[in-house]
Amino acid sequence: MNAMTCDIVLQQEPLRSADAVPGGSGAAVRFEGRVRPDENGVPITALEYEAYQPMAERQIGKILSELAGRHPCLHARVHHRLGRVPVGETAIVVEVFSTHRAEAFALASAFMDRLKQDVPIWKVRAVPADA
Amino acid sequence: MSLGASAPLHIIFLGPLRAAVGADSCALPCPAAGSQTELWAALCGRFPVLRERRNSIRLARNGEFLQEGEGFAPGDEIALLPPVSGG
Repeated sequence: MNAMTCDIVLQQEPLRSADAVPGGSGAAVRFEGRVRPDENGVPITALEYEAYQPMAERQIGKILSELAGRHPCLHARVHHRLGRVPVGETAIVVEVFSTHRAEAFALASAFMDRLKQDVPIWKVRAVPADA
Repeated sequence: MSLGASAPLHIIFLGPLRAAVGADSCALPCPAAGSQTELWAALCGRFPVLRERRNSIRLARNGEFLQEGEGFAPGDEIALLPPVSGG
């Protein structure tokens, strides 16, 4: 049985960590993706993201549900930032809570692979450092 | 409100594709058989820049990925999704 709960948000505002930890969890894996100072070798100051909502939110939910069947976890939190995200700031936070560490590591890693294939979110513009 | 057989498809261009096409969206008459082959012929005729990109673009119908062989109906929203790059 897959009883994993999900918290999925796409937002313009800066991302924060979860305050609440699900009861019964013995492991928490957190991945944070940040904007690098260059894009394809060109210095930048920010990236601009956009999404096809609500399809992107539904896709994230479907992927998490599918992965939870293989890697049973208690809770997953996926928050992705949209709009302009300056260099060094966080574009995505993935937090996965499970009873044991192996499932949380596996689900978080597999989710990021799927996000980059099947979730309609794009980097639409890199803002050059000399702009 | 029911949509008649003549209701157009609402086509939207997403991500970097919007700049390449030079439009956010357009209306296209729904092809008679409602097939993807017909749709692509109409899209590439109107937006030639799509020809070279067609193999990398996925289609979504009303917010769900369109599967191979699946058709569509008058009034559908058809999104053209270039390769994604989130995260």
